[in-house]
Amino acid sequence: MEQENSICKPKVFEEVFDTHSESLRNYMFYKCGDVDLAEDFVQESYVRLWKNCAKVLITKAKSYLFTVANNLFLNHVAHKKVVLKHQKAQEKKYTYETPEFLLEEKEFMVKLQNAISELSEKQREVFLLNRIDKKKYSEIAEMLGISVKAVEKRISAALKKLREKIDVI
Amino acid sequence: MEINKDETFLAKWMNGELNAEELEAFKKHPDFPLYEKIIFKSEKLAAPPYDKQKLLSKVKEEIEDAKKPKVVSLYSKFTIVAAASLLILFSIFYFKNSATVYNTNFGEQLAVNLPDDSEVILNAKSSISFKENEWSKARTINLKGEAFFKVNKGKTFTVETDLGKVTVLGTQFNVNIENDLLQVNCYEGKVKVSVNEKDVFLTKGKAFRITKDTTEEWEFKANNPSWQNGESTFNSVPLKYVIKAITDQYNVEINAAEDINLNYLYTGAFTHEDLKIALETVFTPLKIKFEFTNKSTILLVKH
Repeated sequence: MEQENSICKPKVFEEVFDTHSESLRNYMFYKCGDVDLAEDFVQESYVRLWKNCAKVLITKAKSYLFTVANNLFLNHVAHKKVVLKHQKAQEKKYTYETPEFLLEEKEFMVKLQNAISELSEKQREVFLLNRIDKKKYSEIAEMLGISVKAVEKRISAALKKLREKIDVI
Repeated sequence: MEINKDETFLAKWMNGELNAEELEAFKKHPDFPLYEKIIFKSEKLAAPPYDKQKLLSKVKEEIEDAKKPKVVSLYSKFTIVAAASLLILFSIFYFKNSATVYNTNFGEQLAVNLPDDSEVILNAKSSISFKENEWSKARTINLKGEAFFKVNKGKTFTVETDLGKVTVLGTQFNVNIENDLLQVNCYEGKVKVSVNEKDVFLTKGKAFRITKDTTEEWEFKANNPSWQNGESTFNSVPLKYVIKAITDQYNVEINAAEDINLNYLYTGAFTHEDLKIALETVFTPLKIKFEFTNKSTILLVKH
């Protein structure tokens, strides 16, 4: 029996794609540092979701996608050493700040990015999902299938490590 | 301080979950400014640009591909590869099993190295064929016309002709087969000629000839067939075979008048260099006149 919100309906499937594909893709990117690979994982995850559309409830679609993608990532034997090259958010064309200040800021961003790439995969993904994708802890917990407390621990550990790394540099 | 005790403290602070008291205390912590800067700055990071529509269409494409019934095309890659391999295998098999053939045309000579390095020299208008892949099992050559053989030692070497077989172990010999004439000259070693279930053994300097109704054996002194030195030599050979040898050598047609005895036994030689001289050396002593009816046709009449 086909349910009202069955993922097997193309429209519903597309909605699921619209809602989750970006954070899934970013999540995979935070893991492997390779955009193309990350998008391959997303593509494959959604294809599998479609094939199993009758078995997966819409409420479970998100965690299904993240689990599948994560497994794909784990099965991908040769993942690269993660070097994330985060792009800066839209830069202002003009500024009232002094060149010294701007230089310092630039240096800080470099330090921050280096520190992030040195985080453990688990710390990095939760931290960036929160910072960049603005996901709430509860959402991250749901995506990754872990408790909110576990997310909080990882975030705290990530912050601590970032602080240490940046302080040292 | 909570920051060191509570493993979730920083996360809670970042999420604005600390109460006023906790927050005030944390603000006095020496690391507070850096933490604040980290969360403020990290918020400005961005993931690489994402083209959602492009990825969605990729997903749809893959889904569509999967939907299609899996009909194995008759000309699937596998089939083509299989067919090509078969073809290659077959052609290797075919070519390996097909006979290797060497031909000479009018006036030509050809030296052929056999797979075991034995040597064959073909006289004009002759051909040999043999199966290269069976050579190691049986050294057998089919001969039409005339050829000289230098056989390396090894397994039995057989020359098959329409009239009979010549077998040897390692020697040099000449075989000439023309219609109903078979002539074998042995230049070295020992040769066995088998014709009509009879065996004739030839040693160095011995020759054997069988025509329709006569067999002949004789001795000679040459070390190699005269045709290799630009001459054809005959020893009591019926004239018709001499005429045949001339036509093979010079690509001419020779017609003899009825009153000429074509079975006359001719002994002598003719050169391969010059047709006119050849004709003179053969026919003048026999008192036969030759006339060119055109460039390549010769009429023989009694003097």
